[in-house]
Amino acid sequence: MLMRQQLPRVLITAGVIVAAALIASLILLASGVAPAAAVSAFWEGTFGNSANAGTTLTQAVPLLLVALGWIVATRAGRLHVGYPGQVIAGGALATAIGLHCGGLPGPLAVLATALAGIAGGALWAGLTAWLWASRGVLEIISSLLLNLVAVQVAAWLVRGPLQGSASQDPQTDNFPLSTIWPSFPGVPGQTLSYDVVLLPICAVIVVLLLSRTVFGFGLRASGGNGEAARWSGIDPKRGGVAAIVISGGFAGLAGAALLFAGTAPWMSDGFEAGVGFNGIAVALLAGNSPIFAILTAIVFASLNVGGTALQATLDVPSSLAEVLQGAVIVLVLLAAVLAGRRRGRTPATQPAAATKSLALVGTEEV
Amino acid sequence: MPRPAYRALERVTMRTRIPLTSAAAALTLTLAACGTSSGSSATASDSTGPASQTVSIGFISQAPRNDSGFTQYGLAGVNAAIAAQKNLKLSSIVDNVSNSQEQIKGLQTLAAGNSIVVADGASLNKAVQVVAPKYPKVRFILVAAHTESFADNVTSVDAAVGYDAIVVGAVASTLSKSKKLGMLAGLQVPASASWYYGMVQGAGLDTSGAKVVQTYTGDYNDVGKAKQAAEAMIATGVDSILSDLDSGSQGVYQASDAASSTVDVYQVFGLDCKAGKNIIGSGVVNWSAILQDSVTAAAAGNLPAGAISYGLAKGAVKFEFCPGKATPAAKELADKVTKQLIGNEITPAANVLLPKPSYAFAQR
Repeated sequence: MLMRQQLPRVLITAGVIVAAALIASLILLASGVAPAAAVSAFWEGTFGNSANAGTTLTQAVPLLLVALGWIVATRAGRLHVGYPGQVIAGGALATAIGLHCGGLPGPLAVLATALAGIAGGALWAGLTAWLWASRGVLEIISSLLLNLVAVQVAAWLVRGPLQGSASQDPQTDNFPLSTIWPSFPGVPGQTLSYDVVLLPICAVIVVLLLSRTVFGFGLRASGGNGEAARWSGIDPKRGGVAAIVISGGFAGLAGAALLFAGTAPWMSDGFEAGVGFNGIAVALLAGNSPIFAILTAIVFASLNVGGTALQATLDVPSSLAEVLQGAVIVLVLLAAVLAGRRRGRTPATQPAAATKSLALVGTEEV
Repeated sequence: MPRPAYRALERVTMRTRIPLTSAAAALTLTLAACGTSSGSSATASDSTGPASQTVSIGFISQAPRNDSGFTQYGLAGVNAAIAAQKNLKLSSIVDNVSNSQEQIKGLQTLAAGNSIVVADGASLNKAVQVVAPKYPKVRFILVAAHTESFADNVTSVDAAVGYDAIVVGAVASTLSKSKKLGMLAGLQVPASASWYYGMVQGAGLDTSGAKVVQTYTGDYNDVGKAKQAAEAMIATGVDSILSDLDSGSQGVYQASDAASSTVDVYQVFGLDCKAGKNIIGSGVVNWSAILQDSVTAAAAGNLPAGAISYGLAKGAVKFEFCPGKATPAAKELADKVTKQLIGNEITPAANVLLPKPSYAFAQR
């Protein structure tokens, strides 16, 4: 039964990856690079040695966290795209706290930055939730616009209150050592942060939250049919607000992870690095499954890290990775449309499946 | 689905998911540990001293390599050094690295395979600080940036653009009718701030009381943003704009060309008079000469650690007019101010030059 449920998703994911590989091969051939050499360089740059593997896995963590935020929000029927802004807000608040936590013991300082990240993202998402719940503003619009505000606020912060004292550059000072999230000492360059354990832990938490709790049931009911949920005594508005805020918390934690778990312990312009939108793609490629999202987050992180390696070793344009990520998103959307049409031909099984597939809501039943 | 059946399915689903999750976690950690164990430091130690005596160079920049500005001129300098010395080879270029994580990854990749790494741009300073100590045998040349502290294998090379900016300010102030000058840059980094403060000082040499305004578009290569910013400046009465942009300068030229009255444009780094009809001249910065000089010295093992600022004395910075654009008075003024700067008769004001770092510093 489970295999039958999972098979279409596995096939879609595999199909998307194969199609993306074909597109990449064509681009490489057009660039005059042999695909075999590119594969070798890509592997070397991503998992070819411990240091590179550590970098890849560490970069997968924020992607997964954003993806989990998307999954929670969409399960409650709330399609918002404010993840970049929430990543920035989480990272900025974590930075503000972290820069003043140098005197705390390591574990406390790390916890403080993580909680600050969650709080920052959740608060920023709270604006979207409030506008939706109290004013009826479409969350997709308000969250998109709040992203722009967040970018400007971050730009002001690194040129103003958070700017490093010893530099005129738009960057903060380096974070105190005690606030840096610890990394595996055995990995050269200490590129693998312990926050990699968040990959399975957070995925399981989301699975359990959505499938084993009354709260999760309420979220799913709100997202499935708000009217029916209301008749059952569930307040879909409350569920929607909670989902948006939780998703913001995940994105905020991603922001903190980007800054405190990476090898660049300072905040500067552009630290968000596209994680907010790429995280959505990670969730889409995983069919909104928290477990599969672990693998797709690693795939996307590999594209980022491998793109640099390809450029350095074979002079492949750096935009190739971005082209591939874009291709993956288009292919996922295409697959969703095709899946929707297929389901539409068998109305006895799921009448509303086609519409849902197009909206990419509830693709996964937890 | 009947409730008991649903529960049963849920139990099966959860029983399957937890092992799946555990397997995924195990896989991720295994992948991290199953590499060839050749860490970055180990690789670095192999990168120097190839048997053929060829000195390989890696180049990394935040902007695209063909940005018609800062990066392109810097890369031209590296290529000039290579053309002059047969044993030099530009083996890798990593461009478009905008965030710190990418910069560090790019620097590590380059350091693992090259003897010299040129980090072209102020935004790379902290990334160089992180990576350089891990590759002690690799010489890092950081362009247009200072930072708090440097490793022994890092040299920062910079152009004292503030000198150029003072001349631009003086000339623009003389030629301006509205006595409102503008400075447009991408990011508010120290080098861009130098252009602004230099223009302010240069404009102050004239008694007309010309004012200078500054705007940062957030991107050196975004033509649209540059055009909008320039149009906004022109709308407030600015009739002379210095464009501290790369490809984005096209937007400034377009705004200038479309303006109802004449708006003079001043370039930086290079002089390309054909790019727009209103270009008066350029605060030329000879990045090519700077990079050629430093890369050649690094290859010979003669480049000292610390910071080197290239100024008027070596010809690294110089104001140049477009043909036919210099009035006799403006040309005379430019020459006079330049001579006064070389002769230390004019002392650059605060923020016009980058602050001298606490470590080894040389002005050339």
